[in-house]
Formats: sequence, C-alpha cells, structure tokens
Amino acid sequence: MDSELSQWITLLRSPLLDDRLVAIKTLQHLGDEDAIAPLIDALQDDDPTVQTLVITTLWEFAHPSAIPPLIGCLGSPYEAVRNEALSALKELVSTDDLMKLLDVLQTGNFHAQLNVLVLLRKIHDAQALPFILPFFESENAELREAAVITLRYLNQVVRCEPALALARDPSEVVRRAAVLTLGHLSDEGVVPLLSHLLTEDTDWQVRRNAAQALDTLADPAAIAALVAAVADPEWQVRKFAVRALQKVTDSRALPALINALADESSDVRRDAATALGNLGQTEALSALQQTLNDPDIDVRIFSERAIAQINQTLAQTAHG
Amino acid sequence: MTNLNTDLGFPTQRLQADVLVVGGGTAGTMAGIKAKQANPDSDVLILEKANIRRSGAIAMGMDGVNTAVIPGNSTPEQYVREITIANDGIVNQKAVYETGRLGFEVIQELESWGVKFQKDPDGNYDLKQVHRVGKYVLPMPEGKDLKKILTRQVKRHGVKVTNRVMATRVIVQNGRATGVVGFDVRSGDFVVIQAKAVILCTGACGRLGLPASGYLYGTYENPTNAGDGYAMAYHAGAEMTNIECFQINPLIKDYNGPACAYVASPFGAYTANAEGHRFINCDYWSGQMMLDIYKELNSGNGPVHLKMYHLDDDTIAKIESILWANERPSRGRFHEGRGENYRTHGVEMNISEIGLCSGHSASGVWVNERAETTVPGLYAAGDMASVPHNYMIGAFVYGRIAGENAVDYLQSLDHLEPDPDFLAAEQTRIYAPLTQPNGIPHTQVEYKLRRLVNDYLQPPKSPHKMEIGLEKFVAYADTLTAMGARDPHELMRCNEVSFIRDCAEMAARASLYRKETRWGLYHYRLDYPDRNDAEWFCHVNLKRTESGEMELFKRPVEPYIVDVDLKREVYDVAVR
Ligand SMILES: Cc1cc2nc3c(=O)[nH]c(=O)nc-3n(C[C@H](O)[C@H](O)[C@H](O)COP(=O)(O)OP(=O)(O)OC[C@H]3O[C@@H](n4cnc5c(N)ncnc54)[C@H](O)[C@@H]3O)c2cc1C
Repeated sequence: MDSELSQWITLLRSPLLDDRLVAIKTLQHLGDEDAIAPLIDALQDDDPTVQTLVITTLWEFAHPSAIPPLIGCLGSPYEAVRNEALSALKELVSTDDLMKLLDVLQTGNFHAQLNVLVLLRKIHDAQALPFILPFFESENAELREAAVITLRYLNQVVRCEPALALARDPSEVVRRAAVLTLGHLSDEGVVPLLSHLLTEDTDWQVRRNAAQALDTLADPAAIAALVAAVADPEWQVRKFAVRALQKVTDSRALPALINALADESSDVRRDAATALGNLGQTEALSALQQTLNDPDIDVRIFSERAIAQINQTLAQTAHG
Repeated sequence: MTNLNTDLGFPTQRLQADVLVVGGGTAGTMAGIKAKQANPDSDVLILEKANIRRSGAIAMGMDGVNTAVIPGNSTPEQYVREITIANDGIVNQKAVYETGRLGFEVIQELESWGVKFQKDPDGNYDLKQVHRVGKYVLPMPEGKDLKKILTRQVKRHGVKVTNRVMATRVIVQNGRATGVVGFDVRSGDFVVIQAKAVILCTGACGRLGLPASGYLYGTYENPTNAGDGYAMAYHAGAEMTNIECFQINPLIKDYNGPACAYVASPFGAYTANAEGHRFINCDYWSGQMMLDIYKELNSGNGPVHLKMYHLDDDTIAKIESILWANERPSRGRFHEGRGENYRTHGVEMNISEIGLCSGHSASGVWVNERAETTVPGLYAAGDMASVPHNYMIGAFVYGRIAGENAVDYLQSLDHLEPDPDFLAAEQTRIYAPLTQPNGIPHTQVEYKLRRLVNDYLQPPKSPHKMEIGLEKFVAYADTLTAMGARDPHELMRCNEVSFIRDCAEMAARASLYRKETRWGLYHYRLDYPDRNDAEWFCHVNLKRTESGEMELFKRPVEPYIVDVDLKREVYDVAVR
C-alpha cells in the first residue's frame, strides 16, 4: 500500500471528527480499492456523520464486499445512516444477496426489517414470499403495509390467499396498499372482495384503489360494483371506476356512463366519453353530441373520438 | 411550460461538453480517452447510468479477446472474409475491416496500460483457434481487472465522468445532435447536457427476452443494458439496421453465464449431444451454430452438453481455474450445488433468451466505418452499433474511431440552447411514473412485456405469431402509462421498460419485413425457410419518419473490398 494512502487510512482513526471526515473524503477521491477494508471498519465509528459519509464512499466504490456491512447499517438508530445505506443498497444488491437479506428479516429490528422489505422489491424473487408472509400478521402497521407492497413486485406470484385478509385490515393505510396488490393476484376471492370494498369501504382512497385494481384485472364479474361506484361521492373513485369500465364493456353500464358525461369533474366526463366509445352503442350518441360544447377541451376531443368510434362500429355491423 | 420535475421537488442540472459520451463501458471509456487524446483542450464528458468502475459487459467477467487480428497470425483481409461468411454476406466490409486493421493497436495500447494477455514461453501472443478458420481468440488471464484499468485511464486523461445519470433522449436541433436529456437515478434531478457531438455507447438490448429463470435481471447480457441506445438513436431519427438478426447464445442450463466453449475448446473440450458425439465442428458463436444446436435439442439427441469428461485431470483443473477465478466464482458454486463435476459429466446447455446486440450478431444502429450514424453529430460504438461480430475489440476500435471523428467534426460548431417545449415534454414523459407511486410496479409491467417477447418473437419465427406480438407491443404503450415509481431508482427501471418496448416493436417489424431465412436461428422464418439472395441480399433498415411512424426499407450491401464468393463459401458448421 503506498504511503499516501496509509496516511489517510491512519487518519480514519483520529480522535478529531474533522480529521476523520477529511480522511474519508480524500479516500473517496483517491478511489484506491485498498481503502475498502479500512472504510468498512470505519462504519463502527461513533459519529453518525462519519458513518453516513463512509456509506456514501463505499457506495462510490460499489465493491461487492461492502454489501454485507451495508446491510448491517439498515437497522442503525440514526435515520441518516439508515437512509444512506438503503439508497446505496438499492443500487448494489442483486439476487446473490437474497439470502443475506432474508436473514435480516428474522431479526427483531424494526428499521432493518422495513428497509429489507423495500430492498426485496429490487430483487423481486418469488423465493422471498415465505419470508414476507409473517409480516402480514405483524403488530406494526408499517411493516404490514411494506410487506403487502413488496408482494406486488414479485411478478411470479399470482396467487396469495393471505393477502386478502389485509384488504380488511383495521388500518386504512394497510388496506389501501393491500387493495392495489390484489390487482395482481388471481385468487378466487379477489374480485368479489374488491367489488365489496369499492362500494362499502369507509375510506375513499381504499375505494379508489379498489377501482384501480379492478381496472388492472379487467374482470367482467365486477361490473355491478363498478357501475355503482360511478355514483361515488369522491371524484377520484368515480374516475377510476369509469376507467375500468373502458375495458370491461357491458351495456349495463350505459345509463351510469351517460350520467357521468355531466359529472362535475372533467376527468370523469372525458373518461366516460371514451368508455361509451368503446361500448359502441348508438344510445349514447345524443348524450355525447351534447358534450361537444363542453368547456373542457379534452372532453370535447374524446367525445368526438367516441362518436366517430360508435359510427364506425355501426358501419361495420351494417356491412357485416 | 409545466415544470413537472420542480413540482415533484427535483431541480434541473445543466451541463455542457464538446464531446458527450453516453455509456462508460468498453466503447465509451475508449471513446472518451481517444477524444481527449485527439484534442486535449476539448471538454469530454462520459455519462454513465451505473458506476463506471463496475459498469458494462466487461464487468460480467471477460475471459479473452474474441476477435484479435495479430500480425503473423492473421490479416485484416482474412478477418473480413471470416466475418462476411459468418454473417451470410450482409456486412459493410469497410466497417468490419477497421476492426481487423486497428485491433492490434488497441491490444498494444491496453497492454501498455497494464492489461495482461496470455503469451507463450517465447513471449508471443498465445492465440487460440475457435473460429472456423484462423486464430483470433486471445486469452486474458486477468480479465477481471480490465474495467479498473480503463477507469484509471479515463481519469488520467482528464475525461470527466458523471455517474448515475441515465440518458433518455438525444436532443436533435437543425438536423444535428446537440445534447442529451436524462435524470439522476440517485437524486432524481432532471439533467440537460448540451454537446457539440454525442457518442452513444450504451451496449446491447439485453433485456428483450425473459430468461428461463423468470428473473428480470438474470440475463446473459449485462442487465443494465436495456436497449437504451437503440431506442434513443431511433427517436433521434437515426437509421437502425438488421434488427431481425437477433442475438441468441448457448448457455449453461439454469446458470446465468456463457458456456465458455471458447475457453475450454482449445483444451480439447467440445459441444456434444446426449450420446457424447459432436454435431458441430466449430464453437464460434453464430446463428448457424445456434440453429444446429436448436435442431439437435429438438431431434431426440438432446440434451446438448459441453463435454470435458474425456480430458485428463490436469487439463480439467486448468480449465476450472480459468472459468471459476475470472470474476465468476459463482460458477464453481453452481456446479457444486448441482453435484456436477467436469470430470464425470457434461455440462448441460441450453438456448438463451433473445436480445439485440451487434457485437455478437448484427442488429444495431446503422454506422459507417467512421462510426457515424445517419444523424450528423451522432455517433455510435460497441454492442449497439451495427458492425457485426465486433465483440470487445470491436467496441474498443469503434470507441476510438467515434472519439477521434467526433473531435474532428465539432471544430467549428457552437452549442445550441435546447428547445424549452422539447424539455418540458421530456420531463412530463420521464417523470410520469413518479406522479403515481401506486401505479403498477415496473417489475409487473416488464415481466409481462418480456413474456410477450418470448411467446411471439423467439425463433423459429412464425408470421402469425409475430403479427400478434406486434399488435401487443404497440398496444403496450398504453400499459406503460399505468406504471408507477416510488423513487428515482424505480424511475430508471420504468424508463428502461419503455426502451425495451421500443426494441420489441422494432424487432417484430423488422422480422416481419425480411421474408426469408438468414443467419441460422437468428432469423429463421417458418414460412420462408430458405435464404433468398435474389430478393434479400441487402440490409433491412428502419427509421422513425417525421410523423412518428416506423418505416422499413432495404439498403443495398456496399461493394465488397475483400472478394468473397458466397455461393461457394456457405457458412456451415454442422457435422454430417
Ligand atoms: C457475459 C459476457 C461475456 C463476454 N465475454 C467476452 C469475451 O470473452 N471476449 C470478447 O471479446 N467479448 C466478450 N463479450 C462481449 C463484450 O464484452 C462486449 O461486446 C463489449 O464489452 C461491449 O461494449 P459496449 O461498450 O458496447 O457495452 P458495455 O461495455 O456493456 O457498456 C455499456 C454502458 O452503457 C451504460 N448505459 C446503458 N444505458 C445507459 C443510459 N441510458 N445512460 C447512461 N449510461 C448507460 C451501461 O451502464 C454500461 O456501462 C462478453 C459479453 C458478455 C455479456
């Protein structure tokens, strides 16, 4: 090791805070990999500013040997330290680190667990599922929420019965997250449960997310609930219900969609026009004509398109 | 102008450079160094979306140079012949020739920087024959240090580096490239860089097909390379070429890494069928070889394996030490875990997912022998630029050519102020997923997209399937608008998915356009199973029209500079 380098490494253990900070900054600048091991040791420094700067530096080196010690920082009592370690690991972790991360879930440290649940989204490996499930029953709502969001990222998981219970969680924050996750699952109970929550949940964000999830699933079985939700007191719920009806086309939605053309929210009016276009029924034509002088330009454009679309459908069926 | 990034709390960073290199991998580091060497006063900046110390294909583990033309062993003319034949004649020979002509200088320069190449006891380069004819493969026993050495040279030459900024679009004004926009994947800042010349070196489109594991980043190629440069060049209006010539590689089954026949075959290993017999006579990767593997796998003689069990203990130990030490220690663990031993069993092999990569096959951004794309001021080099079978040395050579020519080109040019409407539109497009953190996660959106790629584009290619695929890729633009991101890192992934979609659409359209079979499995069409030189001895190019349509057309093959009689010299590696 050259003497310049070893001088800075020695300074890492100086009693003076400023010395240590300068040493780390310099080592970061020099970029010599011989500094990695001493920097990892410096993670044990008492001062959180030092720890944070060391993490940034190790992140800069991006050497795989720093990954386990950085994982160790995820449960730090200092928020800045935890956040920096999390940011670094978001970039550095790969599927090779899966087992190390899963080990952390088994510890009792809340911060470490929460951060690992976030990191598992980067790896999105279905093998993590059995380790995530116990958090559905955690006492802590934040962990339940994080766990059910992470489930959403595991693209190879298509059924997960335990997630349904979280959609009835006492905490609305958990319910909001769980409902969106259900949009990616195909368990039998999913569509009936989402339909129920769409019309019955007391929290409007849960209802909105249920509409979004049903939009993703595009299952005709949800039609009645979606039609009912077009009359929801919250415009965002109405908007996403109407959006879902753009995909699930069913003539039972016709009256509700025609009403929605007069909604106070321009988003709802616009999306309803599109849904009517997709439905392709002549009964909608006169209502759509009336929106051609809507004050909102988007509404006018989409109504025009819808009218054209319905006329085209008509022409095709006439010839066919 | 709506200022979406400031609404989200992200400031805008403005940078300027004379030469802007996008991507700090093999080609990009060399482009930066050579631009600076050509004019030490010029301002050269490398933009890298990961961390230049460890980014790019080299970091996946490099065993040797695949295409070394070393005086006394082979000539550039021989090399051009070999690549012309391996690529079924569809090459711009002038461009291929440069790789042969300048490759040796690159090797010497790398050596002067401390890169070690294998030599025999007399001090001569220890070249191995892997190609059908001629020796071009030069082992690099310490390949794992290569990126470290390059990064050091970048620094020494005074090339600036901005890590963790992902470029998303090239700025084109007055018909020339004048910069790049992107964002910082750590802080989320919007980044606008003005430049007089832009060199794209963003590598392959390695995340097109989905690997057998279903793991999005478990690709053969470096998973950071999502086809960014292909999409950026396309949107800048540059011509793309032979996109239907996919990349497919022989892989170790269930293991993410090449089979490494290049390393093992000079020691006597070979690819064999289940009965232990050879069925190909050459391990150099080509579409024809992949077709023979595909046929063998589907013939009842499969599975196919890399056979070493006939070798002696010492030789196997030597192969193991090379394969396992060079940044792939996981390989040793992998075989151990499966209870496999090179001494007793063949290593079972499989066919990889598809990708786009000119470095291995021939699909890329159209460039001439000066590394120029069809957009003035826009250059491309490496795995994304259309010089076939270029591999690592070709990436270095074309990085060099691009760097030197860019410096030459920009002399009398000034910076142009970017159009605010363009910037505003880009912001809206790039940041959309962050405005809906509860949108569909990128992992779901990417997974479904790449399953479609597997289902509809994986050769052998069927026209009906490809038509369906194309329809789905086009419609997928809507699905992308539903994607959500929770932090800038996820935003990067979302933007990558949009690049992958662009590449999938290009791949489907180009594959439908070329109505013949060529390059073995790479473009094997069930409805046109034969090569048809009368109609298709040409490049298939595509570009974005003014109105935003994808337009396909034929481009004649440039006159050969090295005589090759393709009627007599058909690339054929099957053992009959
Ligand atoms: C596993 C493997 C083994 C190989 N083995 C050999 C071998 O033994 N011998 C041989 O000759 N060749 C080998 N090759 C091929 C060779 O490595 C490549 O052809 C060559 O390295 C390509 O260089 P490149 O510069 O085009 O791409 P890369 O070196 O991959 O560089 C691309 C860079 O661009 C960056 N980037 C991507 N998108 C963006 C964006 N939007 N903004 C900013 N930056 C971006 C990436 O992070 C990356 O650093 C191998 C390839 C692989 C994948």
